[in-house]
Amino acid sequence: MIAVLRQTMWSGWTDLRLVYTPTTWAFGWMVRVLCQVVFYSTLGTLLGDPDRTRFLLVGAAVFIAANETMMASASTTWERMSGTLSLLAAAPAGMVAVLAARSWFWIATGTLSSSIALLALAPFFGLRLGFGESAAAVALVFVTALTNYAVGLCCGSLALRFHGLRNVFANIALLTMTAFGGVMVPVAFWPAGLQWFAAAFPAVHGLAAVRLAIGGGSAPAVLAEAGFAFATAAGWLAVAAASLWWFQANARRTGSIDFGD
Amino acid sequence: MSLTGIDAPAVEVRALVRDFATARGGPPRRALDAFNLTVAPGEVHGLLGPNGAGKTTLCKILSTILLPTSGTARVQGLDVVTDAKRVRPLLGIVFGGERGLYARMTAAQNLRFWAALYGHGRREGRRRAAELLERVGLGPRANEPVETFSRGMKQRLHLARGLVGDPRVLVLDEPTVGMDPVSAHEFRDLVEDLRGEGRTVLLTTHDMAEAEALCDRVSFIDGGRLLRCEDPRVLGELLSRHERVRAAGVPEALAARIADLPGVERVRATGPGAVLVETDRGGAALPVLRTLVEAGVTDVSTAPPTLEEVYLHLIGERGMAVRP
Repeated sequence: MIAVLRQTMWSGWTDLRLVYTPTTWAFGWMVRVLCQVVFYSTLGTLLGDPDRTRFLLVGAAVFIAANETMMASASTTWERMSGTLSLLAAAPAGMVAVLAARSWFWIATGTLSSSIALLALAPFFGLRLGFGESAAAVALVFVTALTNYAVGLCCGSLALRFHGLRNVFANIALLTMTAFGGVMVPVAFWPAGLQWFAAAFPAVHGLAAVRLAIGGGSAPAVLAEAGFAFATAAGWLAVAAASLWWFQANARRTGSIDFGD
Repeated sequence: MSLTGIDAPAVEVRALVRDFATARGGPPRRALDAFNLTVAPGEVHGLLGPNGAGKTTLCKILSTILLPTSGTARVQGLDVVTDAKRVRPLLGIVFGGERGLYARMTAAQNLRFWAALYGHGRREGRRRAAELLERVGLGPRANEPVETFSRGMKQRLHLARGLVGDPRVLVLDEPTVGMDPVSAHEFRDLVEDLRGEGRTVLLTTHDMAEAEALCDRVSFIDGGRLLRCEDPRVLGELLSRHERVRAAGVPEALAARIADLPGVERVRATGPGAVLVETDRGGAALPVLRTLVEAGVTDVSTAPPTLEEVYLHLIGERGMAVRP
């Protein structure tokens, strides 16, 4: 299994090189990310409210990690595009481990771009972070990306089965998190039912943990939010695994995987 | 109790049926209809049939990516439905075309990836990848991205990938489709080598010459049914018996004379002065050629019959029409 994961991660790395070159990442993607975070943070500045500015800055920056890891939904379906899905289905190791690990690179790029956005823009919007706070923020951004990857994977497993709706699942999940997950508007603003709903998403807890860590929250409170992120991610991961298993079983019944898929 | 010994047939298919649902709740389409087949260990067996005959459906069932509607299919004595996990390591799958490889990865990385999925550790995976790449003639290109490969090179890499798990049974689904003649010839040489190693090969193809050259036996499939299972020499006889002669600049009187030659089945006009002479007896093409050349006709060529024509002669039924 370790050999499978190692080779799958290498395959993912080659996929990443298809998505970005260092130049396009730095001058395309990162410029876009920085502009986006500046845009939302400036809204707070225009309102003349430093607390709101910091809230928007942290929300917009940390959610880049969630945004990028939701790309795992699309990249999970790339196996079908390369024609390797049928071969994975027929291989002794099966497809679940490969599909689960192949998009890992979004965790790395999501952590990197989100952390850069947060740490680079914080001083410009009145947020002073010490070394300890910065390190904690980066670690928790990684937790956010890692745990939200499970949501992206779950959407990808559905996208494999319902290929015509492949972009819909990830967008619905991302919009839900953005709207109700405390990115621009505090979670507490919403009715209790929606708050419970938002709490099902790991990135919501990851973001809350970052806010606590850089806002003077206690270590147990930070760890509790990180723990919730992992717990909810485990649930999403279980759903993703079940969905991938169901996809393969259903494909055997219906013949929805062809040679060349 | 399942048989896994070497005495079990490499492939054994009994009364295999596969129906596919159709759109808008129409009646199911039957891709395989009470199909029977036995392939002995070490045999190179050809599956020959037109599009929609059921060849690929059979390969998919044997590869465990499709369930049969009814009937049984066994590989080395193991049922592909109930023993799928034990069947998978025994099988190698190669299909034609450009897909099925990671284009951005190098040839060696592709093989190491699949070696891992077939249970080989890092060191063994590297060893097998290097060995197989040398074997298929891609050793010097091992560290180049697959996207830079020609179609023939990709197909050789496909074969190496199919062999990475050291399978006892290899399923080749139209592996030479779209390949240029030189690449196809090289690929056939590689398949010949597999026969020498005692591996069982199930080869689906449209190409009768390929089937004749490679196979120990050939099964003719149509409409999901096994029509005939023959020695490939039968195919060779059919090919030579139904040889065709094309000629241009043939006067009507000469065409009439040719039609009266023994073994000439039919003379068809294919254009002004152009004819297609169809024969139905071995060696009948020779007097046709002699008559044409003696009459001063030099624009002459011979060709084997098409698969459609062989099917028409074999079965006398629907030829190449794809079933609805």
